[in-house]
Amino acid sequence: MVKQRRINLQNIFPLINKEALYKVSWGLKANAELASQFREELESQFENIRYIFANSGIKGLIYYDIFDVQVADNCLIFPQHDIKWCFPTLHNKCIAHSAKKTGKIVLQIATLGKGLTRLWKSLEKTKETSKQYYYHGFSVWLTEALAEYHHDIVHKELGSKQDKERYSFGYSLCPDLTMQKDLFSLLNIDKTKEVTLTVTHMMVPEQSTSALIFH
Amino acid sequence: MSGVHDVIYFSDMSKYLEILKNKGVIIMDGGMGTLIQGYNLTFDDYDGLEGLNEMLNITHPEIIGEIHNKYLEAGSMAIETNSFGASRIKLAEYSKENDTYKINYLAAQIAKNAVKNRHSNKPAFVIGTMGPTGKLPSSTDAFLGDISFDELEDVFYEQAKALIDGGVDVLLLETQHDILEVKAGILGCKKAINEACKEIALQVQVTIDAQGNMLYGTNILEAFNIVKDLGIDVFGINCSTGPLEMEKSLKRLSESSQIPLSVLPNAGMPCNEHGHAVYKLEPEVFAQQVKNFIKDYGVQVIGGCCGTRPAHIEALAKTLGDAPKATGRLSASADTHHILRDFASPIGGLGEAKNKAVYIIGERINSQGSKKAKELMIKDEYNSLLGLAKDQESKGADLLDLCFAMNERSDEKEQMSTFINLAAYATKCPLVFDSTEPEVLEAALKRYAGRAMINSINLESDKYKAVLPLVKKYATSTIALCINEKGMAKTKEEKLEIARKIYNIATKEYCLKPYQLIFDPLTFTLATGEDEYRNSAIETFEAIKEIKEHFPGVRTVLGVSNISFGLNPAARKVLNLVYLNKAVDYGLDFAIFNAEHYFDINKLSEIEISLAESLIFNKEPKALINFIEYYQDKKNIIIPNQSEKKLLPIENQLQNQIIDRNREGIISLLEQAMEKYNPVEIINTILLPAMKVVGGKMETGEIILPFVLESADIMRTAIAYLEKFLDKDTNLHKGTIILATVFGDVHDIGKNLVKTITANNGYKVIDLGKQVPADLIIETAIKEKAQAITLSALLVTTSKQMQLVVEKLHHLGKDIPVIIGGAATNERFAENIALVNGTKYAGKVYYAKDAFAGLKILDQLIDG
Repeated sequence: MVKQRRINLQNIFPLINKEALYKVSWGLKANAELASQFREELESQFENIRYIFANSGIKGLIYYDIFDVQVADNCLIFPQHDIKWCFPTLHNKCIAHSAKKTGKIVLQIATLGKGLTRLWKSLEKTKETSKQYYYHGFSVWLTEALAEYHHDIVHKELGSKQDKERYSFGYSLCPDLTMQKDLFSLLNIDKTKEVTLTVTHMMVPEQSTSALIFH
Repeated sequence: MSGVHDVIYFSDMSKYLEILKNKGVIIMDGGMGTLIQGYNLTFDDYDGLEGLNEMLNITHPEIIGEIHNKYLEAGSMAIETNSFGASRIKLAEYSKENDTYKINYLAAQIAKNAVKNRHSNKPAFVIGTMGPTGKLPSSTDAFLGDISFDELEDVFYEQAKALIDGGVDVLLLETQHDILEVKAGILGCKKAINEACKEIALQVQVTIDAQGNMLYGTNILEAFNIVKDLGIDVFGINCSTGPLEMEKSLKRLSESSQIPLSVLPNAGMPCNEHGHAVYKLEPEVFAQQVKNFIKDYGVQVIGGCCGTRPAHIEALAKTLGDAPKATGRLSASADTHHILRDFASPIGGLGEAKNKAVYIIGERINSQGSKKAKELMIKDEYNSLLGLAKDQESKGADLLDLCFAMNERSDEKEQMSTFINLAAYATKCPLVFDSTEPEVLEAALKRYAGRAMINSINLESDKYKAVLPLVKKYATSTIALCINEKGMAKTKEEKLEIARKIYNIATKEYCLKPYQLIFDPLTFTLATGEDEYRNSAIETFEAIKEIKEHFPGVRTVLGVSNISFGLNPAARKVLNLVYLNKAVDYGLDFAIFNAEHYFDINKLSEIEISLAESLIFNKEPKALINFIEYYQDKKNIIIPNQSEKKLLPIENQLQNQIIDRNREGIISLLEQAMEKYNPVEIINTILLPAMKVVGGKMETGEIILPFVLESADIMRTAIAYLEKFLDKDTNLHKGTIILATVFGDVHDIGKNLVKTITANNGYKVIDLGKQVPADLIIETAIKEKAQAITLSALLVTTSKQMQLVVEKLHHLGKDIPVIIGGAATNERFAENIALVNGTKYAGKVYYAKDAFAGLKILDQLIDG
């Protein structure tokens, strides 16, 4: 039975990394003179989109579970599932080793679910690229904040004293996207859930993020 | 003990209203969410649905009861049920919509028990609260606006019914953002109240920002005017700001409302602390500020919203003492049915027109009266119709008549509704729904967030029997034509007689108020010279006077331009204007007229006025001939320029709209430009150079990327409009490009940016979407004779697809340039994949770091 949680997005909105959203996603990098004026405009965009996200049937959903793992060299083995994940070593770091202490790993998927897909379809119909662009940036950082929020909760629930460690597929320490297939099977995510996987192992909606959490 | 409490317990609605009637003050409670947070509940307490506070009615009723007790002990005389977010729509977000009745019923029961078991003999009431559904019926957004008035009415009806069954004394619509939803909510509540056979009070509160505006810009006073006659008992504001920010709005309300006012501010403006909204206004300060509202503005229902706790209510109760009375109500003598308050657009009302001698109803959006409007309607050119609306507004119209009836189409209802949706928030002029079909009128009333006028009823047939109930239900008003089964009334006596009959039916059978009737005693043309009509203007004038004398409170209107039907344009303008001015002398309130033709009569020469007067008042037998002769050689008179505003040339105006990201009115500007240029010239010499300016500003950091996209979206709208006027084979484009996110990759925001930037800088873009196989990309490029293939990929894994495309092109012996971009690509990657088995691909591979770099490469490729 997969563990599933519904998170109140009202708790997540204040945690969105606005600096990153404005600068990385919304392109705020104008000269100092104009930056505050732009920022003001982006603030009002932010509030507007926040309202729409709060009222468009978009959910903050978490699928997660905790698993026993064995560490062998650079690999994690899930003994009950016949799954083995191997990771590269970069700058003397291999994430498989993070499980040595506890022999456990938490796998988590944070997603904005089917509601996001619906909203996106209605956005595409309007053909307004500027709107899509604003919404896209917002949704990306909202998903990130959601993943971080639940990571916090798990961290507390497990009573962990360690630093928080969370890795996502597709990045340098954990580059192999095909592992997401195993992840979906470990978390029992079937077609009835609000996130799916493409044949090339990408999650739909795009506003989903998977994570390996160590504690 | 409980028996004792039962005796004291007299929580019924009549008492609630009785207290208010006697200028008493009712102290409500404070925040619910704030206190729930204090219980540190876990996921399980919510049955796994974090944030669904209403779930606690089922899982932890004792917590909700305890919170009610805390407020009652603090001095609350009325407590709000825990049902703010328990509408079917909100609960459906948690898949709990099937528990709607149960959750609301329990919410009422928990509160009722708390009131029953309280340790005080003060009166106490249960208020069934209903927050917004989160949908915004006024929105043109496909998602938020995706709900009908009827659905909303049903949603509130359902919630209200459960709350009433559970025992509430008062129904409260609160924290409302969209005035159209408020209207639907009120009708839903009233339906539930009527069915319940109980007296339940109805209280309505909207939420406004510090400037006094609701989410879509509806000012507090307009909001009040729109709902005040729908049968509500209390009107007020809550949430959003602290008390001080509400003061200006309260003052305005107090000056116009005789309905008791409520106010429930937050504990100040929120501060953001560690990602949480924190409200810091201290209870004593809060209490003092709210107390002043009772003293200065006669507010009678008070309490707190976000961030307020029992301490705030306790401070409030303490500072007010026993049985406080509201004073300082400014509106004691206010005329609640002042003409300025009975018509409103959701973003403005007649109030903005100040007191005028006569209010002009713009007549140009009329399928019956305007050939141009009709053509636009046939072609579904709603934006151009909106241009007509704005134009009339800018020329001084106070209201706008809309008539979509015609033989050429059979969807009057849909057309009218579509246009209302577009126009409601685009014009400050209240709308006038002009139709003979009751179902068209009802659909329009349901679609409109403002307060409209109906045009019209008469006694020629029984149709009025279907329209008058609408006037009552939607608290609107209707024009009543002096026509009966015998036809149009010509004499003063006949007009008065028909008016009397309509007045009696409307006020006695349908319980309408006099101010809901606007009589039109009819205008006949004076151009025929027939004896029968020589005195017709005088008869009409006299009728205006007598109707208003006999039926105090009613209003009058005339279709002014009928007076000159059949004369030449110059003569018409003068006769219309003089006729209108005279009618105003007799007490006319509204005129259906072309606002452009309404100007100061003193701008006419004395001879013109006297010739017209002579005709209107039938002063001499030759009046008509004299008048016609005077204008025989004058084709048109010059209308004095009303707006002194100097306008930029049309070219600059258009460019500024794009550069300044101002979408509004772009279509009507394009229409003007089309009088001077052909569409291709407009695109090439006006619009594209404007986009170039935008691109330049981006490069110098004067603007940021999303602004460029907004400009591009306006550009797209403009081109889409102009394309309709082009021959199919006109080639507008500098070149054709193929665009795709490669196979395996679902990320397309970057690709879409490229599309927007290139398409709006002169390129034909064939967008194949995301996850596109290499073969399809190549096939299409060949078929469409594309000048370039542009590819996007986010990930290293999928960027290999780009290599595949280049290889395949190479093996096919093609030389189409390939431009690549995306997070996983760079200059070196482009160089690498350009080498296929050691030979260079003939078409070259370019790397573009962003859409603008891509555009530059394209321009260089095309221009050489």
